[in-house]
Amino acid sequence: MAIPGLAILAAIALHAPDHRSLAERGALSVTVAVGRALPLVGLAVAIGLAGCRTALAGSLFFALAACLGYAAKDAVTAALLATPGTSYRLFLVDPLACVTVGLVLAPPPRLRPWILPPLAAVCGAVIALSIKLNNPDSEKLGFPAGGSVAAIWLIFVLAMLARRLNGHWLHILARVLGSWLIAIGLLLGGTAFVQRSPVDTAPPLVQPTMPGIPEELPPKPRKLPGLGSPSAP
Amino acid sequence: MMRRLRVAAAAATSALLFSSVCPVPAFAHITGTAGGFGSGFAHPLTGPDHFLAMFSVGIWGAQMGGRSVWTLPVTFPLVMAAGGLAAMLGLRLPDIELGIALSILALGTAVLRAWHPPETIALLLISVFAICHGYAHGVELPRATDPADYAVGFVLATGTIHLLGIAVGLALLRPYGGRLARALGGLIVLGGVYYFALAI
Repeated sequence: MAIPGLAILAAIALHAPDHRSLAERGALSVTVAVGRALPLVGLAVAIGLAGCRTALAGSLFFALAACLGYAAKDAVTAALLATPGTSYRLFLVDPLACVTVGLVLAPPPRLRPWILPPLAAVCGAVIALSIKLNNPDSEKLGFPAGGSVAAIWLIFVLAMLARRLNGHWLHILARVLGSWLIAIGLLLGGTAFVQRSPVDTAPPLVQPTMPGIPEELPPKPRKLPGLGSPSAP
Repeated sequence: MMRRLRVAAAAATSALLFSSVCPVPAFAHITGTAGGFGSGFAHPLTGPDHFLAMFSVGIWGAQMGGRSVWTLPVTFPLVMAAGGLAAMLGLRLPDIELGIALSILALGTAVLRAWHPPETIALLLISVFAICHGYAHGVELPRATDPADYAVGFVLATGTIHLLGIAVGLALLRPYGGRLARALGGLIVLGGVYYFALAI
């Protein structure tokens, strides 16, 4: 399932952007956008390393919360933007997903059965909200549908891979990945607050030189006293 | 074991192939020197001062052994992010370049002496240095063409250098009683002296 999925994604990526359907754009937005892909990768690793019951609970909670996220997008957006000047909060959605999944992976594995299901739910709701916020056509469902299929594929393939590679070293690597996700989430969130520095002076224009035309203009003629402008008759 | 390695290798190759056909944004930009993900990823790798410090964290963790093999590389990015946030929010920290130079000196010395302090002391020490490195990265962030991808790039690069340091440290632990790793620490100390002299 991994290789056919990769082949489909590669085909979509090679497709000219203006010929892509909404579903294709949705699929790419989930797998290529760092803010959405990384939390899904982390969640897949967490589900893959968890026991069967925990993995099932985590997946179910993720799916249910994602449905809730899709349904409640307008209400959540309205709540986030209730106060004037808070549009930056919409940019905190992806960082929140990163930090949430990081909090699943970073703690000791013995805590994962307790924290995976609720945090997977938070991640699902937030990822769904992120997909819907990036939907270029809010009337049509193609974008979220493509994004959802891509997300499910990514989680399933990587979780199965993590299960096959299961070992003590992978648990340690998962904790390292968790710390990276928290760091990335914090920094991504920080960029939402960053005031971009004003543009520095533009690079100087290079005057084109043409043969026969002097590079420097001749000096301005001096104005003689009592004679007015030098060009006056 | 071989089967797992084959599966892992197949997964890594597939990911690499997929990323190579993904659309890559143009790198043309007018202002600043920092771009997006590639620029952020290259920053710790091509900056010898950052590279030496992160690399020595990995080696030192491998030398200390036990939990420290992974607690040091787990703590560093987290505290580094805090340093980056401090820079982004405009907090002023003095003598960051001196702090970075000291980090190379101190971590190189720790590897050279194969120092085994209590884990808390080691974590405190690398936390102080992580703030300096994170701050230096965070200063570049607002000027980046794509700050979000830039941040992701340098965090992933930092983690990769740590893992490289761990791998080299573990590989050099046994031969000649670990003297090769300690010699590497000595070279890192020389680099630290150079950057310290530049920073003064």
